[in-house]
Amino acid sequence: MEYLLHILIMIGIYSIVAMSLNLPAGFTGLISVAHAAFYGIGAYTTALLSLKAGIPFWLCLPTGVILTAAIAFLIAWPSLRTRDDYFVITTFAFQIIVFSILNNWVSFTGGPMGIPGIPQPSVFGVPLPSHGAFLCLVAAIGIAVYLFLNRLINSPFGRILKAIREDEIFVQSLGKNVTAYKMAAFVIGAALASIGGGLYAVYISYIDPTSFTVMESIFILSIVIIGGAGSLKGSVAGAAFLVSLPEILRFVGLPNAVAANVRQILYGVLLVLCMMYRPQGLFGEYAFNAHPKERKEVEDA
Amino acid sequence: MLEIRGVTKHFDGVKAVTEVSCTIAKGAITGLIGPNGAGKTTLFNMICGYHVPDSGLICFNSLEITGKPPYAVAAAGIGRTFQNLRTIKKLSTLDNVMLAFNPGASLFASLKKGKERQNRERAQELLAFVGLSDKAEEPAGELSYGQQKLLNLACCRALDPALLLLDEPVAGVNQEMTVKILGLLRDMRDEGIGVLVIEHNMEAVMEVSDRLIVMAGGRVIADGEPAQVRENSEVIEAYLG
Ligand SMILES: Nc1ncnc2c1ncn2[C@@H]1O[C@H](COP(=O)(O)OP(=O)(O)O)[C@@H](O)[C@H]1O
Ligand SMILES: [Mg+2]
Repeated sequence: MEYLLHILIMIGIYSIVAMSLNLPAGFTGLISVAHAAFYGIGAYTTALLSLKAGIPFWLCLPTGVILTAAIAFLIAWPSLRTRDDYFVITTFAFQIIVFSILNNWVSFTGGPMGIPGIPQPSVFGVPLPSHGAFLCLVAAIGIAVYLFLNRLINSPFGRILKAIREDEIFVQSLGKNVTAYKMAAFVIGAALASIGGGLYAVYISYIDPTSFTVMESIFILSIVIIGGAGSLKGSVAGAAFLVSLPEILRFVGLPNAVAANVRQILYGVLLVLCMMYRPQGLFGEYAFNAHPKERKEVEDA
Repeated sequence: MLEIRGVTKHFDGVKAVTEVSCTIAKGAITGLIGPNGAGKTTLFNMICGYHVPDSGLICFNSLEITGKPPYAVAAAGIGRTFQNLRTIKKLSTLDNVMLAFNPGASLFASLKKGKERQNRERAQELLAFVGLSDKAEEPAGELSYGQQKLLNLACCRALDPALLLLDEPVAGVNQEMTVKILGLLRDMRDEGIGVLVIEHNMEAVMEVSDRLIVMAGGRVIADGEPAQVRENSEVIEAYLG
């Protein structure tokens, strides 16, 4: 039972993180491989604030959100001014930098040793009694994130994001500041990812930098792609699928050490199969790489 | 209304536009013609902020817009269409029009759903204006080529522009559709909108224009009444090679 709860909690956390990446990557076409960095910033913020300053969990989360949004804004500002092809490289660089800081600033982050003993969250001063209760918390926050994003993508704002993904030159000609919209999608996505990070930190009660590597970023992106770019339900389904996959491998009797390696290969194979046979993912409407190159330039010769 | 003064744009040695000056009036249709590669589209792209001129000045309603980003130019009241069709194919026809409302409004304004119903009605009117009412809910990508050109016009109108720049609006469109589009251009002119239209279909452009500007080799070689321009020997030469 505990084992099942654990998987459900992890699915919930990854659903939040994947949905948050779907806003910039899936809906807007802004591919980022820095999402684990934002997720990590959220986790470390909650861990450090609760452990070193005794700040309650429900205050740590919003602090993480604000801090992450600010950092995302600072990196989006210069990188969105470069050409699209460079954007993904900028996020890659940022991801590497964040990992190095987490790994090397030992006095602050604990370095490779990580941060143990992160206090359990409490609601109104009462610690959450069980994994079941924590799952309810994750589910409640997950639903809130879903509803928030769902509202966003069905507003005029969301319509503009979807249009940017297809043809930003056209959207500019209709009087929309495309850079500002991309920035907003990126910052909101990063901020929401930090919520997933905060939940992860208090749930596992121990974090270290290996959870927030570029591989993790790519794993989150895989959830978005396999679940379906531009579909929030797809991100939840993708999280359920990819998180439970290694458990299924273990279930069919593969030894742990083998399962861990097979897992990585399987993710890669799945991604390739998805690109080949179902580029729109499980639930998406759009192929992931929907914008043809020529739509990015006003050639019109 | 639109004033272009000595505008130049060269791309790595290609003299796309050189020292072009002209003014475009409101409430009139101005045709812009010239052989392929004359620099017409490049001139549009400079007016609309997609290219920054190497030199020269562009003013709109006595406000300088040289080098302003495209969205700001659109917000200032200049709508445009593209030589290559541009629509959002996955969004419905109606949603394409809805995209164009409130040019230049802040991002925060777009988070509110407040005026959606009103805008939806207005978008329906604009689709009716171009005759696409029955296609409102279809993805724009399902429309025919000519219908997408009409949709582009509806999007432009949703911007509520004072000036419209149209890049080959009837190219590749059948006769019936051409008549329809030319009719729409006249309607918009009669409402006081200035229309600057690039067109290769000489018959169409002669018929619809109040004034004609001819470009060749990046320069303006003639500017005047269509009948007058037609007689101009330099123009005849440029066209006949
Ligand atoms: N973005 C660009 N980069 C390089 N050369 C360009 C670019 N845009 C246009 N040109 C060149 O400038 C010249 C004028 O092109 P254009 O303005 O499209 O002509 P027109 O629309 O009158 O046919 C052409 O020789 C074209 O190849
Ligand atoms: Mg052209």
